[in-house]
Amino acid sequence: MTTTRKLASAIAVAALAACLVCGCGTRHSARPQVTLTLACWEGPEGLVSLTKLLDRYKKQHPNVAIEIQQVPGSQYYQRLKIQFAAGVAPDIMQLAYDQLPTFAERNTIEPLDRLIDRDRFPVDRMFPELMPALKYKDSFYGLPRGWTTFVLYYNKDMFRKAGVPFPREGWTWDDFLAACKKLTKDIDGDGRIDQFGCDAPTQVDGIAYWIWQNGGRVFTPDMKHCLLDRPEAIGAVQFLAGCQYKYHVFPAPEQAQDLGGGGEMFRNGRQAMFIQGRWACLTFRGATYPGGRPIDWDVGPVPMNKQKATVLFANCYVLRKNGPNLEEAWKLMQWLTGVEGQKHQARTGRDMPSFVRIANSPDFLDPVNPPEHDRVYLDAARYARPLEVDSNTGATAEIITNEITLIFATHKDVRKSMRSIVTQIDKIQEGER
Amino acid sequence: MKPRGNPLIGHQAAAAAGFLAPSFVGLLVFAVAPIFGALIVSLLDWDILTPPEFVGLTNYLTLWQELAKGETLRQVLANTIYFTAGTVPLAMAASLAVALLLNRKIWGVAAFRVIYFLPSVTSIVALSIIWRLMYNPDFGIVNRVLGVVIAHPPGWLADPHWSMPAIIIMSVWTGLGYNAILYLAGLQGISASYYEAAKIDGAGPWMLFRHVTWPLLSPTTLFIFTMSVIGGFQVFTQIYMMTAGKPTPQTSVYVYHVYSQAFTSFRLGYASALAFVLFLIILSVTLIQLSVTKRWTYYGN
Amino acid sequence: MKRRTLIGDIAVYIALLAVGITMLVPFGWMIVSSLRDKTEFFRQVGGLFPSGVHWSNYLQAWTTVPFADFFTNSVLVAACVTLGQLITCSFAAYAFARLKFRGRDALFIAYLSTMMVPTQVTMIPLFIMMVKLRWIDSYTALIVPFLASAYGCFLLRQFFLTIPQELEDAATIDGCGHWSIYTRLILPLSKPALSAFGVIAFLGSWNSFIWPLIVINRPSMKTIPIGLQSLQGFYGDGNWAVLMAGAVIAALPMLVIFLIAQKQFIEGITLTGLKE
Repeated sequence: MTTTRKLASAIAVAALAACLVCGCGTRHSARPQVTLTLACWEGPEGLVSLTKLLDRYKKQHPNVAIEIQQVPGSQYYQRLKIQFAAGVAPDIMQLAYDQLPTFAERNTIEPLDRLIDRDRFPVDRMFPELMPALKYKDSFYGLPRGWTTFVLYYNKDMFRKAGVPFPREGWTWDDFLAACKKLTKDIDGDGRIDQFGCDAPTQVDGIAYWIWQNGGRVFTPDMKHCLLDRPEAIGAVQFLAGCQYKYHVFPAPEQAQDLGGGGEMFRNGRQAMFIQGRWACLTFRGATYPGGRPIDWDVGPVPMNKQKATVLFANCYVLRKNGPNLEEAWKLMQWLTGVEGQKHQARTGRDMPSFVRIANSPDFLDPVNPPEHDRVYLDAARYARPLEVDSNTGATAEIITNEITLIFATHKDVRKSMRSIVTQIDKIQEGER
Repeated sequence: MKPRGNPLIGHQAAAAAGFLAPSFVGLLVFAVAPIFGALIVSLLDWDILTPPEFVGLTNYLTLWQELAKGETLRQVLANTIYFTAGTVPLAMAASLAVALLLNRKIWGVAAFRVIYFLPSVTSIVALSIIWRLMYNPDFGIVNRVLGVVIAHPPGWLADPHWSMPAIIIMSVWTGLGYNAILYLAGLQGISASYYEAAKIDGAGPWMLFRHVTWPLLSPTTLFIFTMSVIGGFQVFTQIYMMTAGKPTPQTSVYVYHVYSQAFTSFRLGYASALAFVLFLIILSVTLIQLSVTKRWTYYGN
Repeated sequence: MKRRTLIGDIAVYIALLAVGITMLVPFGWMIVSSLRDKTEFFRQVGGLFPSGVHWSNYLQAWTTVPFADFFTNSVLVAACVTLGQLITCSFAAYAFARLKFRGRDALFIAYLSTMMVPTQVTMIPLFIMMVKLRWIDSYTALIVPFLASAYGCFLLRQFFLTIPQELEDAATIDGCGHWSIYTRLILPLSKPALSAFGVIAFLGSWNSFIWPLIVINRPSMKTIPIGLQSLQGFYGDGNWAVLMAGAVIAALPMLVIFLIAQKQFIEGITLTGLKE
């Protein structure tokens, strides 16, 4: 008993002493002239890559220290909003392009037109398809670290074994379904399916392009109404729901190894196809079957129906509006999104470079690492679109995601789901919130 | 012998003020003022980034509509009640059973007590992570063991029908030691004379339990019951860690909903209104418990 | 004492053992899993025991998120909160138990009634307060709102009431003022209650989750529970081994403290169950 009290007192004294020494506030590292804070959602591997890049910048700019705030993706935007409200927002932040309107609308991020023109940042050398994703109300708000189109990853071993031709330009939903059926198997004969064709979408960016391919849209062009209850949208989602519930070529929740959406099953050789952006290369390079044999995989175009369509994703950096270190942060941003940063990103396999020239160079068209057909990403750019977004995207995307989960996890009727989405979203879009 | 002319009487109020000052200020600023603050916020529409807008009782109306029309909130409330109704009886029965066992004063009881208490001192964050792994439908230990006897073990956290039961089981497991200790204290507070008197009358073990142990335990039982019910309505961490409310909305519970409305969707006014309603629910439960205590508790008269 | 038979005892022992195993299995599984290689988690490959002992998982967990910072923060915050509560609550408990003044009982009931309000009601306005005061991401936000505890006032008052009035009367006659009585008489006699309550307060602060989740954003300022949660955010389903290693690291300190101070913990819990 006395020991505990002594222990407790010792801890308390030490704690108070530490408190006095460090101050009851946040901490500082050594003090160069400028400290920039950079927020990102990178995981452990991404952080290593980012740190390498930033180290090179720091060598050229020894007066700049960069503090990285690494926040897991699921809490990332929450954190940013709280930080903005509390006045402690970072100087430069990673932002997915679909969040640009939300943050721009609330006057939290710096419009970039003036800076781009003044310092002549070469936006004209970027892919034109990318431009709309970086702008809000015709002003630039973000510059991309990189971008990507969504393509279809496929396991060549499984395709060969099943005798299915590899995905090729112009292949259709019917081809896709037929392939899935042949690729979904019970391998060891224990009555449980071990290998699946593909998996169900879990978020709006997993479902949008199917709807576009069917001739539909998610929103009207002026974003005032949601169009998910139109036949084209319903048809697309019903096709996917059919893959899961009728043909059983997508894993049901209890069959999935994870809680869905992460590509784990493809990475472990349990799934034949997976649709995702370029960053999946990072996780799939070096992927092996249980037991250690490397997976032979490549990429191909997503299937088409009434038209070709796929979704693009732009990974942007943005600046805190009127931040205290705006000029230094802008310098860093130019470097990260300029030629240096683009080449670095391209080589790591995380992103497609936004500059056309670099995208067509060996930095991206990597002859050594898989996938073999890096061109597929570039070819898909011709029919890639950004998601339809506005400043309510956070809330509307969540509504859509919830209903998608209900459809694919609880077999909720597609029509009912879509109607529910439209009712909820239209309320928000009409400004009743 | 009462002291007369106590020199301290005149100074008592002043001394009291001094002794009470720290806690008084602390509670006033951080416990009382926020209650009024919450009331005010519940009358606003605010997303913390832009200035708030006064909307009166709109948030409460929206709340009522959501309940009435069977939208998300109704499911959330149902889930919370499901969780509480599932955990409380199970937890109480299990911990009472364990306490009865521990009460037998067998050699090594102290060691068992320590072991049973381990989950209670471990962060529920860590426990949630462990159980998430254990519940993995493919390689978690639960299904590996079950798979020996059942052909298709359930999908647990991934399966909408089994996700809440999974969390219920985990929660009961976590609280077992804690409640057992409480019951044990209650059991040890029962004077041996009651048992002896009953045995003289020829009572066997079951009769002893029913007529001596159970009634004399009733204060403890009621206390654990009330605390468990209140705790059930406030469950958050396990849900946040294990399922984040998915498969939505099968495991979204009330406090999780409040949290996500306040800090993910940034609808602070609506979330405050939700929190107030929770307050009313808990208050009702406690008042019911107080009135029931008077009728049911047996204090050994 | 009930009549005991050998068979009865053995049956009870088996039952206790069974429950004990159920309690320990998850912990054991956590440790075993933390030592596996991350590819060993599949039905086809992984057996009951890991193929080798991969201590590297621990290193990876330690370096992916700033565990050292988490530890420092948790210790600092929990220690300050515990000390603060011990001081403010024992002060107030003394006043309520021993001093006479107008409105004393009404004030005490007012104190108690603050316990009725669930934390979810107050957390939103407190959060707004933290934002406006710029206390977000600071130790202040984690410590200051918790320095007073109505619950502690209640518990300690219960205990102080059991100290015989005669002792205090004797001290008064000897010329002691309230402060001396408090420091030299009440406090020393209350060591069991204080240490039991202190342990409970420490545990509560250490394991606190939703409040740090709301007010702390910077990784370097996180406490262990939310720090561990961020590790899950990074590894999710991708690397169970490292995640388990992180869970072991996070759970270890409290387990060690518990094993050292068992008596205090159990006493503290039992105190909470005291009827009025």
